[in-house]
Amino acid sequence: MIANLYLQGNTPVHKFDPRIKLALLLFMTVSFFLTDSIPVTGGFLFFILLLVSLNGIKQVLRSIHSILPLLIFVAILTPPFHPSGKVFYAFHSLVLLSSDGIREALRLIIRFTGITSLFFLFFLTTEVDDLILSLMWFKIPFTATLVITIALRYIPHITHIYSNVTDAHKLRRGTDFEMSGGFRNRMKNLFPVLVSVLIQSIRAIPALAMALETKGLGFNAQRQSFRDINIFGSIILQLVIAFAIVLVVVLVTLL
Amino acid sequence: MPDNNKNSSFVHLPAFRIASIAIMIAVTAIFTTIIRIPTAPTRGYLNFGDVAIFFTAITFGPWTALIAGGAGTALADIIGGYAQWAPYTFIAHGGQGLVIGLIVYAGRKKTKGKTGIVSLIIAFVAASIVMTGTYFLTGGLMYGFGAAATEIPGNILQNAAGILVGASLSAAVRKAYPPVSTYGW
Repeated sequence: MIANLYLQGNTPVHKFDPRIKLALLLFMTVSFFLTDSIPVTGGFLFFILLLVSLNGIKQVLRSIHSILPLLIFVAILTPPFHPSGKVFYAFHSLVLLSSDGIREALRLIIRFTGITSLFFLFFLTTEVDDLILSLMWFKIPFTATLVITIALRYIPHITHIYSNVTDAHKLRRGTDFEMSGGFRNRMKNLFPVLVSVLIQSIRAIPALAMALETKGLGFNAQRQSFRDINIFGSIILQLVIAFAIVLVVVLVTLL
Repeated sequence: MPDNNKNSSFVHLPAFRIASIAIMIAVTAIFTTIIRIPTAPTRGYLNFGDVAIFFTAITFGPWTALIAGGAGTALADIIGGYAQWAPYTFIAHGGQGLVIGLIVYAGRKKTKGKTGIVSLIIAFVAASIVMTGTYFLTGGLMYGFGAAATEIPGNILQNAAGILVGASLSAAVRKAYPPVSTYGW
């Protein structure tokens, strides 16, 4: 059930250095807020979706699928708040659809879809390990990255505990144990399961703390990592491409 | 298993705090992504992320809840494909955990270690304001305040479920596994 977005691939975005990708991710997110021009942000969105489609057209749909209900909400609810411009549809004196309303809704939809697909593209093409190594390269404290790494390591473990405990309760209660019906009925079955899962998880804390102690946590020295960031091709070429993107975006948004 | 450590200084070591934060991040991420109950009024799902945050704040205190609540739900966002929300989620749920923890722990000082109903209700109100307010503001900036306003009732419902289930879970776990009451800070 816990699925990573990362998809193995051979696209140019996959081969890009994760540190440059991370910097571009932040820059592009900000750039969506710098301009109100629909053609410009629309162009950004098209470019991002093009890069996503290199991994297969299905991925484009996947990136938008999760935010579709929200986009419909935005399309319906934004126009009434911007009644100026040419009026297309009005209910008595209440303007429900006007040219300014449509433009505003389009602007918000493009911005939101753009940022969503941007993050989707990043996590589609970057391994979590590489992301953590990049964060460390940007001088994010070792403790912070360590905590995230341990948490990622324990997610499948605790998921396993959860399914084990659920199975045990099912065995004991038989057909009585149904995860259906109203909120109260579900809670009655879920509550003891959650108590067991929480206690099992909490019992792991002292052992983990001892392991961290013996590994020399708090020792102040440059940390080394067994794995290194994979660099494909020339890093200088990648930096040039990244600067070209930044330059184009800055010129387009400011002009 | 070093379960029943009489040596109470062990729980104040940085390693112990890092371990408890990391485990609670994992628990929060799992509660948010896997454990869901369909709700009739909104036709949506109630996720248990807020339950985990209320549990962490009441059991482990404000500082563990700040990081575990923020990072756990942000991680769940990234895993679930809503990565664009992760920074705001971190602020919304981290702030929520911090506020609950501070209020409940301040209340405990007055009532000599007991978790009072009054402090829980104040914590619920403050947590709802922090979490719902952050999502309303950031949602408004991202896709307009009209659409952002439709999410307010659902978010308050999340908090209500969070305090009901989270507080009872915390009481049950502390009763069944007493050492946990020394883990807070």
